Amino acid sequence: MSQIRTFLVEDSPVIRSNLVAALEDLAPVQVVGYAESADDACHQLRELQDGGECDLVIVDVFLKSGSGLDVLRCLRESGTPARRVVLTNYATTEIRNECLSLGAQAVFDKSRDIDALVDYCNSVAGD
Amino acid sequence: MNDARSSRWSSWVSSRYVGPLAVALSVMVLVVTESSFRQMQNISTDREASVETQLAVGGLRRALLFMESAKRGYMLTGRKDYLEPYVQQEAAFQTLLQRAERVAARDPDQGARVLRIIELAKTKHSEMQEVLARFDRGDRDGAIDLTLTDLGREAMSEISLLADDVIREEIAFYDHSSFARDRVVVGARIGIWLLVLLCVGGALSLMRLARSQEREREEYLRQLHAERDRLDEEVTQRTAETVELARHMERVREDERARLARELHDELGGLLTAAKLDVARIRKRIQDDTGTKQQLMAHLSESLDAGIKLKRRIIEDLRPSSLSNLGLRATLQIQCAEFAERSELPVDAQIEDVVLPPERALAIYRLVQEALTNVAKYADATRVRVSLRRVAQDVEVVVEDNGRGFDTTLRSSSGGHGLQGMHFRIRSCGGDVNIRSAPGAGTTIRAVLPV
Repeated sequence: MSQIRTFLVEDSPVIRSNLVAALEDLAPVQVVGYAESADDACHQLRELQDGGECDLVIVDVFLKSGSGLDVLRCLRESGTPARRVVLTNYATTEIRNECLSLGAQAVFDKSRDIDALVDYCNSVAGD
Repeated sequence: MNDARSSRWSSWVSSRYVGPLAVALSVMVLVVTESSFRQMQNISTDREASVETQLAVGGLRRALLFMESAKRGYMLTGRKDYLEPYVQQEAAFQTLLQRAERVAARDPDQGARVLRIIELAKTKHSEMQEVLARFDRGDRDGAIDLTLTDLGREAMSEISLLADDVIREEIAFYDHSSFARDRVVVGARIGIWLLVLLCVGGALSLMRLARSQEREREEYLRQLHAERDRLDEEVTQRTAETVELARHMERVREDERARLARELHDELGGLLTAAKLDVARIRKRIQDDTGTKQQLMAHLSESLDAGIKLKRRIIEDLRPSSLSNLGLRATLQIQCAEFAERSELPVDAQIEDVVLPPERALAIYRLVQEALTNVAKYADATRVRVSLRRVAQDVEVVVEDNGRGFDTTLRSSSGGHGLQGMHFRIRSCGGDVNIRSAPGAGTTIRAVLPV
């Protein structure tokens, strides 16, 4: 199974480090970079896209500046084939719909859907 | 100081004595005029009496003189026409005597003299009658003899002396009494002038007193108004200070809540999520084991979930970061959903997407929070409706339940300060809160804010 090159958009260092370790432990995920704000995320992602080096983007909705929705928007604009999923604390119906309409493939709740995220990553790797 | 003392004196005088004083002055005026009048009358009467005395005495003497002269003329000429005056005078003689007697009776000073004159006049008269009688009989010598006795002549000269005395004295009295009359007139004039001046003085000082009392009253009123204005100002100032303090306290509270929420979210949230990730990793490693390890992991996972749920609820109650991140609509929906779950009540949420400045969004969030808390605590309801919608230039929030309701006129039963806090926040955003409720009829809380 090939590694899924994953970019993380998450502003909490604690969550970030734990998530990186967990994902790399539980699935064939290789985290290639991270950003803490929407602007930084868009900037880095554009560079990565040019190099064709990203398969999956995991986006948190609540960021230090800007929101995960902005990141989704700029990913959609860039027309990248990379998959994007949302990992958030507030996975309400409205937020889910909003994210899905902005091009996200799935929305996961940070506390409840960790296993589902891992399963998703594994299924991506299988493709 | 002088002013105060004199004003106190005059107010003392006027308050108790002005009435009796006015009456006394009027009575004095009467007394003065009455006594002057009486005195003038007496003087007048005395003067008339004096004149009467003079006339009586003088009249008597003149009559006797005429009679004597007529008698002598007759005796010289022997002609009856020379006796005419004697007859005429004799006719009036009795009247003159009576007149003189009246004068003697009433005049104590001259009475003795006048009586003497009367006596002498009678003597003289009878002497003249006798002389004439003798002459008419033809006894000329007898007549001359009687004349030469000087009875008549001496009587006449004494009469003259006495009459002169009386008249002189009466004239002196008459002159003297005119001085007395002048004195009375002057006295009366002075007396009345004095009393009038006193009255005028009293009236003037009363007027001055009234003016100064009026001034005092105006001054008192002015001070009263100034005091009232000052108190008004102070009340306004204090009220403004209190309102400002309340706002400040509210701000401090919100800041505190925001800080707590942030810490919970950032720190605690991260730790719990990390724990959950570790659980996932451990589970993968023990997935081939059976029994206790799986059970324990499952239990640990549940505890973590419960912890995360609790953390979320506390953060929501404190300060929903979703307000700034997701907007009012999403936040209210989350709030309603979590309330429905906690209280096991169906919540019908109809939330429009209205854009509001953060302070007002927070005020609405707190309003709904307080209202839902009250529903859970007191209402005993089976249905709750929460709606947010835009109406012209305002936004309307409604929280309605079909519960027990309460009497809105009783302050304590409406949750007291919680609702008052609501009122204050909404009002300080320029809006208004209206609470409709009645025992047994549910409760509707409606707030309207400008957008």
